Amino acid sequence: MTEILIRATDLNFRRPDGFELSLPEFAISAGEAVAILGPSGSGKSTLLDLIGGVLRPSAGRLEVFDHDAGKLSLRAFDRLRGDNIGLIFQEHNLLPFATVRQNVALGVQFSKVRRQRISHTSLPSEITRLLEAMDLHADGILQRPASSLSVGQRQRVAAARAMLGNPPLIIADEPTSALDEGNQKRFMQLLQDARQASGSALLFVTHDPRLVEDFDRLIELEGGQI
Amino acid sequence: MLGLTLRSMLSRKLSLALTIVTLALSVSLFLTIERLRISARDSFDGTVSGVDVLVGARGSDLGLLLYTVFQIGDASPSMRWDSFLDVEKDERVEWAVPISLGDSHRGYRVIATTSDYFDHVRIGRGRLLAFREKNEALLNGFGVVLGSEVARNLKYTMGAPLAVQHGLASAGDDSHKTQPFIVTGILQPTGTPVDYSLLIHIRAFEAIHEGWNGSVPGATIERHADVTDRTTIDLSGPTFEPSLLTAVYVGLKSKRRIFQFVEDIEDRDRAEPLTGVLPGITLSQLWLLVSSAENALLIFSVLIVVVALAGQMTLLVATLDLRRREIAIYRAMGAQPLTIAGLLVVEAAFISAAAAACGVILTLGGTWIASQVLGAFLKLDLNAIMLLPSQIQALIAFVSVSVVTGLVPAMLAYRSSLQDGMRSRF
Repeated sequence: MTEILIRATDLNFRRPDGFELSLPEFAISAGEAVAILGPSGSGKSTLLDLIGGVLRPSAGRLEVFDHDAGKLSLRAFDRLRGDNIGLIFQEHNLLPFATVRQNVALGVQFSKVRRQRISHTSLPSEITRLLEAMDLHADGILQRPASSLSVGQRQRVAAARAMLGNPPLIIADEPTSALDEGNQKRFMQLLQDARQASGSALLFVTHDPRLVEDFDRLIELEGGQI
Repeated sequence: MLGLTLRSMLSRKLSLALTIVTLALSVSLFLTIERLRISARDSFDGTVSGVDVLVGARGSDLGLLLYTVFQIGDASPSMRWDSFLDVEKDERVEWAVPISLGDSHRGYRVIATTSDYFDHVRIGRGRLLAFREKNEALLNGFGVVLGSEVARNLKYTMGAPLAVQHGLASAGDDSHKTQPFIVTGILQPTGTPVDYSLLIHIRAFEAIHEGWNGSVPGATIERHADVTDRTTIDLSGPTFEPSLLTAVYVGLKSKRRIFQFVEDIEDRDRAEPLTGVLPGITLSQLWLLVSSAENALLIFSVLIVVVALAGQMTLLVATLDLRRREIAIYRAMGAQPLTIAGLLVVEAAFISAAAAACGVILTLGGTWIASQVLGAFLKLDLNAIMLLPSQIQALIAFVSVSVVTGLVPAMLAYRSSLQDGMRSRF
């Protein structure tokens, strides 16, 4: 039986400005690649905030890794997120003063669980493997400061960081918006290959319909409704 | 994580350096004021160690003490030599050392006394004066013993000749130049005004003023022009017996009789009215007089430290906005709010510890320079004091308070960082 990582049942969230997100049924299974497509203001970020623990449901039930998101304490949610979710942001998501190696290592810095998942190998060799999976030659960039990389390289380093420690779920929030079309396709291909190799599920959020090929499922959001 | 924290701080090195410099200056100011205060007290208290009573002509207790012992303020009136002999003969007196002041050498005071000065006058906690170099002559004839700073600053060595000047003129007065003294001893540093003094025999002092009428020069009488070794000149005999002196340092056989002794000294029926000063009590009165100013200065310096700490907190809060992305990334990677708060507190601790270290270095360096420039003026041994336990405690308190001020931005980061961390748009 396939493991369910995220499950929403009659989930409802109302913002003070009147916006309402309603998800009667929504789930992400282990190893699955799900794309959420929708224009700005459709509720994509609200959904990510609910899964990440920034917001709590107004009604209904949201289970995150078998925990009721409405009842988890802040600390417990922090730990759950750190152990199980790798995040890739839209842009500027590396520490500019740190080296590439330090940036990628951040992926396991705060989670014993993620460190244990790669205990069969050394951290440096795992970082090298992931960087090379993202088509980055580790020898040349490991000690370089992140600020010296191109935008495309930074996003691939961020993807390597999100996948370090094999988190069951990777959330990518419009990660290609700052890339040109050629780099977008290349990034998507590398991301899909790398996460398939690690077996992680992928929740990919975008407003660009060109990027949602090669996903197991596509969910379209519009005005807070699927 | 520590490595990342350091790299993060290095990426903001200019603002951090300015904060550390500001804090270091305030710490240094605080330590310097405390250091000067303690130096002054130690120096004053240590100078009169072992002297039970200071006897001088009738006048102000504090004025006599300040002028005679610390060479501060206006000259005290002279007392008669006969009165000194009376004091010396008193059955309660164990020893009495005469002191005559008035001359100087290149700005340094000359203390005319006797060899008993070295046997009885103590400095610090009962230490006798120690010599760095000396020969047998010491205060014999025209021998002169130099305080450590006099020898160091004027680069005098044993056997060097020098002429004292009348009064405190640092140059231009050559009244005594035909009667030079020979350096027969150089004292170890004491941290008291003795370091900035020259000691000669009171009879030699009388000899160079032979023929004078009070402070009015007369025809110079030089009886010993043909003597090669001026330390062998015989000054015994009635010719060179002083008629006046500035004060007498007195040591009593029994401390229990000290108040009775002072009362007798100040007896108005005496041939010459005198003043008896208990140095410890008079110094306590002095500290009481200056304590308000001291406290005001201390409060002022503490306020400067407080303002600097507020500045540090302002900087940390201001940099929070610049560091939102950094903190957000840590949170997104699973860092607990307490970890983020801890990072800020560690940074505050690092800043304050660095500032404390720089402040100490500034203080030590600054007081070394001050002792070179102002030592002779202040007559304080500023280098004698390293950090006192109370100052170390103050520095620990400073770092602790700084850590507490780091909690404010830490709490702000605690509240805002989760939302930032989960959203990539800043």
